Amino acid sequence: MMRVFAVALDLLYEAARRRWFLALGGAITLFLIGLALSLQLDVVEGTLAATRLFGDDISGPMQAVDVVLRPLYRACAYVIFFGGIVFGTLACADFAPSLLSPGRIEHLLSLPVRRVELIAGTFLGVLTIAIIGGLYGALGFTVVLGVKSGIWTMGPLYSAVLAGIGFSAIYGAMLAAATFVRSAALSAAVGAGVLLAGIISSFRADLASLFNPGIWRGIFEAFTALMPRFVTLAQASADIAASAPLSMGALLRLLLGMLLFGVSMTFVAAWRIERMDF
Amino acid sequence: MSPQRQHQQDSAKRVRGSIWLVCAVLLLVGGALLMWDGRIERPDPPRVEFPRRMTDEHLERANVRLVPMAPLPPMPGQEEEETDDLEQPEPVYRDPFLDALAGASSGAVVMEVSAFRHSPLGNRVVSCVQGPLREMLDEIHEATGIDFIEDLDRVAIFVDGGLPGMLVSGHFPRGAWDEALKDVSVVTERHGDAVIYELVQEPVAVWRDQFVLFGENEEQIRRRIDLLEGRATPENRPLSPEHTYGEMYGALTKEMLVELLASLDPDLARQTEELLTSARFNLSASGDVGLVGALEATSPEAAADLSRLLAGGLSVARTAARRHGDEKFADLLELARVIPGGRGDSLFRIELALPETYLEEWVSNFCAKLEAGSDEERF
Repeated sequence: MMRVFAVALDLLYEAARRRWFLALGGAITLFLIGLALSLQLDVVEGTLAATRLFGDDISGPMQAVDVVLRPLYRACAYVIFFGGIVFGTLACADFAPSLLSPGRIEHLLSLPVRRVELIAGTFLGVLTIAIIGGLYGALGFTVVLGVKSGIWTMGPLYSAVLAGIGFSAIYGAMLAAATFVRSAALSAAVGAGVLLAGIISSFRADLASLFNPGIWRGIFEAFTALMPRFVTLAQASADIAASAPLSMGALLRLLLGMLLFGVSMTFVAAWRIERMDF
Repeated sequence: MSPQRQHQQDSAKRVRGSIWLVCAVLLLVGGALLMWDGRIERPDPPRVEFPRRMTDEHLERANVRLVPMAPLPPMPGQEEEETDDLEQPEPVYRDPFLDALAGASSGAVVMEVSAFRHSPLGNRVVSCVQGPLREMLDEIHEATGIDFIEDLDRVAIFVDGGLPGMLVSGHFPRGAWDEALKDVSVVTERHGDAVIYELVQEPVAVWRDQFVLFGENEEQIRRRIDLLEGRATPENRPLSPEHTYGEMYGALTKEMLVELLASLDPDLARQTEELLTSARFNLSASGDVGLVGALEATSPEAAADLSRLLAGGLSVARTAARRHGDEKFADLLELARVIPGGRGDSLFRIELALPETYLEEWVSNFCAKLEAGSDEERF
């Protein structure tokens, strides 16, 4: 297990050296600093009495401050979820192909590391990057709004973890694709395809009714049943960020299902790498 | 390494690899089963229609009530328009019910009984009231032809110069009120198209079998009838036709507000007396109950202070409700908001909501008590 962590840590070092991730970190930091400096909330007895953004009065009705901020937390959760997934799909597409590149894979296999540990470490490393990125943005957003409004909530942090788990489902498929064809472009395309299929599968019950009963409907239902439900998870993530009530049992089933999808794709990658000759 | 050993190693590797694949398929199927339903149930947030403006339905209702009346004489200080004596003056369309509520420093609350009666909540209230009072209502209906559930259209409660009164409009059978009142009153006089009856405590006037007017004294009643028939100028009407949306609406004077609040919160009543001049409200009960109030303060600064005070009070009440585990009340207060007027504006609005489910529960409890009381009386 320690070797898996070592591979994951190695991947984190590699990510830290990449400009993509530095740029993302810089962009999140700049956004948070900008928000902190430009947003002024006048809170009286838990009510948002006035709001100023870049000096302009954008006050609306006076309402409980947590109620007013809910749409903002929701928007933050959606940006972290889908923004994180799209960014992660593009920025992490190269990790597995470069790991398997001639010369490097032989070097790694000469070390006391099993092939499957390389795959597991890569998966774990990318999952960690996704969660850290999401948590950084969510924590900064929570702190800025918490200081300004006096409302402190853990919701955005939980939603960032959900976004990370959602991305793990995509990255599992990208990792598996990379073991078949060592191409960053193809890996990213597979990630985008899984995201699209996952969005469609979130509406499978409604979309299935558009098909006539028969073989095509059966194929559609079988295929979409396997795909992770990204929109459903994004909505749940937004609900949690906004402290809205939702069924925890259903959320846990969905999360576990998506995690199993990601792990199963990683197992496909493990199966494939075990059969490869280097 | 011998070829045989090499072959054995390759086979073992393949078997090991196949285990991963089998596990992958099993996990994929397991994941699909877990996500099979794929939906996360969430409780529906209470949605309330706030009566913020006239809808087409309300506009149609208000227009139907306008009747042509002779133009009013010019206001004091206003020059009379020169017209040809032979030319008939153009009739003016007015709602006599609203005109009858006019009066200096008056406030009025109007309930659209017919609209409310056909709302889900109204149905519930009617079925609740009909139970214990059925016999009495049936007797009145049989004796006079007046059906208090179906015949009423609007009921207004007003205050004029400190004197309370009530105006009821409806579609009553001809002569029904004469029949109802003949045994308990004496006819004092006829005034215009109205008949004024003297009851034990207060006079009642019936106008054209359409309006019934209850008042403190005959003078007040006579003045209302003059307003109804267009003989008097309806100055300071508390409500205009464009305000008549929702199932209940009204205009409250400062005195009415202070009296209303005094029993609930003396501090708030005192501040209201200092900072407010008047208030108007509209209430919708067609589904969930929504209340929109337009309040006028003594100055823009007072409006700003009072709107902050009210918004803060609502927020504190919501926090307290949540702390005491009264989630329903907290959810209800989440929908409340205060909308300040523009800069330099003494007006501001407040929106409050009472989701239908809460009121239904309240009505059910009320009905249960009513039923219990009626059973006790029976035995």
